[in-house]
Amino acid sequence: MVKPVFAVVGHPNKGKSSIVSTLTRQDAVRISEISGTTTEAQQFNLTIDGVSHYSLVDTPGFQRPRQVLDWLRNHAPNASERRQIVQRFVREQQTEPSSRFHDETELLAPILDGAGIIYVVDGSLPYSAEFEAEMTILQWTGQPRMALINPIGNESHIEEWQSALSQYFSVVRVFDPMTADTRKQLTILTAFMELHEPWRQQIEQTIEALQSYSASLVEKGAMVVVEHLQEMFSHVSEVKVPAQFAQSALQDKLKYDYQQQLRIIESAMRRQLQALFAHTLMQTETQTLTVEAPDLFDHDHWYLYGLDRQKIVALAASVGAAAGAVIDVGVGGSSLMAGALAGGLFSGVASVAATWKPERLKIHGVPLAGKTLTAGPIKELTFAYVLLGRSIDFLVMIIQRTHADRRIAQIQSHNMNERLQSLNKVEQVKLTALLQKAHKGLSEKDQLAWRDWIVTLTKNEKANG
Amino acid sequence: MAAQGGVLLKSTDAAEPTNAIGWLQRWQQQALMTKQPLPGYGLILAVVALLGMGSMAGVLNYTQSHPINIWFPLALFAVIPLLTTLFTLYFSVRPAALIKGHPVLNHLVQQFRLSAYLPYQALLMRWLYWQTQTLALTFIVAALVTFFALALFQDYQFGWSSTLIRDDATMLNLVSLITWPWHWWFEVPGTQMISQSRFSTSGFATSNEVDGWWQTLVLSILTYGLLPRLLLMWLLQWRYVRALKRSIMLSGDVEQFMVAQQHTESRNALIDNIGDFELAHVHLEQLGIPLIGWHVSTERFNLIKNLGVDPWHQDEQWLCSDAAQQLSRIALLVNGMTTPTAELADGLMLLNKQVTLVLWFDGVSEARQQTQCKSWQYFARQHQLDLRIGE
Repeated sequence: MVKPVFAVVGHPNKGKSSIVSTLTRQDAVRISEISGTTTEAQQFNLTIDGVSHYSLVDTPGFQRPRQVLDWLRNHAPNASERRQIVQRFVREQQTEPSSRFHDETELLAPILDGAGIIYVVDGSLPYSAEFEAEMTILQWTGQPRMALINPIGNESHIEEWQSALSQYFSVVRVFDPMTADTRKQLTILTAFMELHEPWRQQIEQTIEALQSYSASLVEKGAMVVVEHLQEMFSHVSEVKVPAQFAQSALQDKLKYDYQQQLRIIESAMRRQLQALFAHTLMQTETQTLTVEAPDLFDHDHWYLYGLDRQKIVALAASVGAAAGAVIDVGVGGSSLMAGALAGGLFSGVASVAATWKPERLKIHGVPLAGKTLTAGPIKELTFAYVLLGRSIDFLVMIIQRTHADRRIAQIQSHNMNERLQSLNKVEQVKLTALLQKAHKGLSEKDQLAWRDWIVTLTKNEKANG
Repeated sequence: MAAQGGVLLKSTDAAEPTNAIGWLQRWQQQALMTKQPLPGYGLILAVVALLGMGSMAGVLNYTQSHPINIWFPLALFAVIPLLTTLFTLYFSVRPAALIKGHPVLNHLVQQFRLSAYLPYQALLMRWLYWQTQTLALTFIVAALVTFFALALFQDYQFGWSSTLIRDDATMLNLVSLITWPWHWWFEVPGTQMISQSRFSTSGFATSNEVDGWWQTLVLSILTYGLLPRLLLMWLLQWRYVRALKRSIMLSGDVEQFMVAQQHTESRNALIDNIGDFELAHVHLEQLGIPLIGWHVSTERFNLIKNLGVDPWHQDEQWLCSDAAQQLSRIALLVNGMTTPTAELADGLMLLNKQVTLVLWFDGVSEARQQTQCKSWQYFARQHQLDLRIGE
């Protein structure tokens, strides 16, 4: 099967690189507001599951189209030799070390190597004759070609462009690389099919692969959210308080540590989602996570050597029982192990009494025990929903974002109550129950159910959006 | 497993793999860059092996005056291993509990520096269960090897003794039960052997007839100690691999790796950061110098020439003509919504005059104007032009 290759060409600064970026899911294609950012032709591939489906060649814009056309017209004896003349022009310029037609050579070379043509124009500006030189040169190459009207900002001149472009191009479509969702991208791929029959089968397969890939990406993204939320829900921070006077200061430290840990996990989740959706260079602006739920904080006691009270009592009872057993052996077993029982009981009770007020346990003023302040795990439902909502907001944003969009991502907060309406009542109750037990760890079945609910919530968001 | 939230690196090898094996090799290259888990596991295995050897040596050399009571080695190397295997089986198929709350698993995670894998704890539990079976296997194998090593150079006598089993018939039934799995292929202790090999603290009749016990011991260890553990290990491995496959399908780890490998950056792209700037405005009527146009609508302006609309050679001819060359200063009016090209720069070169570049915007938003001006600002800087916005 032939892999389709398209050269994306046009006037400078009309969004060629943006189109390449969106249609190949590459966020590292250099895009800038300054004209002439792309200086050489470069191939970018759309790869799904390690298989390259098609390539787009990002090219510099036409810089001297009228001069090139003059040259071609002066050298072409008749219409049948136009392609050969373009080839000759490119060959001659390629051998010249400092050719003034460097950009034209770069953009024409891949076309002459067999690439289809995608000609990009700005639909927000009126059509003018200056583009005719460019379109004529492309026509002379004889390659299959289509035009994409990029409505940069507004669509006021699309109709006049359509009528002009249809005289030079067999397929003309409107495509905004900044906002095009998967459905619109698939429409453009369908248009690619019409360009050249040998590419049809491959592009049909690409459309199929892209559809299932998009669905699987959303599922995998939701799974990343589930994994990280579970980690956040079960996270526990603790701090030991050796003396009463330090408690207030340490409580603040605990809160700070706990909040930091949750932020770290949340940021790891976002990085993974960015990596998954190929938005690794994306910058985000979002409200920082703050932990205010009072129920998250609790306290327990700690003892020297890290043993808890239960273990100390059990150990003391065992030691007492062992000492009693020695007496039992000494009397030849006639005591019927009463020594061991009594020893165990006595030591156990004594250690319970000794550890009743652990703060008082000291050796030469050094505390042997004290309070352990803990934060987490998250059992409080409101806070659980806050974390879930924040994660879904981010996931939705990244699903909707195109790879050409280089603005700082703003995460819109949505009301979780409204969002939940997309689940039926039973599902809402099940989701709530699941959030309540998530800190204990979830089975794979629960994780998958949670993932599917998140997918539903993002779909609803897309529909609303 | 990819490190949680870690940065996936793109291989320095530029050629993209064309098949699954190629991708796996690249994955492996990256996996080697991360820390290997289970440091010190070899040392623990060595300790367990020593324990197995020591236990067997201890049982065999426990007493010199009496034969070795077959029940001890059977209990230690066949019955207890079988029971622990069954326990492990039970706990391994139960729904996974949180590792953090599990004292033993939590200790193993800390000990073997597996904290980075905690988010995959369902997998981690299965993996830990599978890996730790090697400890039990090492114990049994070390004990067996020790048995053969010692038995080669020493004559060990086995017998049986019991307070509760008083008659040979009960012992025969028990032994028949134990030896049932291999009784078709190997000789098993019979009535005579059981009767002759019974001993008590008061005495023991040594006879060649009782030599068969060691085979029973070895076969019991193999059947109840080693074989169930091997089967359990195989089962745990199968469950782990199945879970891993599912996890690979469900999680985004592989996808993140693939995306990182396919990340392609633009080569030699122009990087010029034009910061904020403000352009001076100028009234076209007040310019006082001849006005040439570049792709502008001629009806609206009083232009001496509109360039860029005719074929290039016509523009070239005019630019080189006396009419153009006699002008001392000119203003070049351009539609600010167009983009500067090399063809315009060529025209300016041919003119070789001091040029004021005037941008004309018609009903364009402030934001879009600002964006467009960046390209023109860059162009004006390159060609040392005075840049203004026309009114």
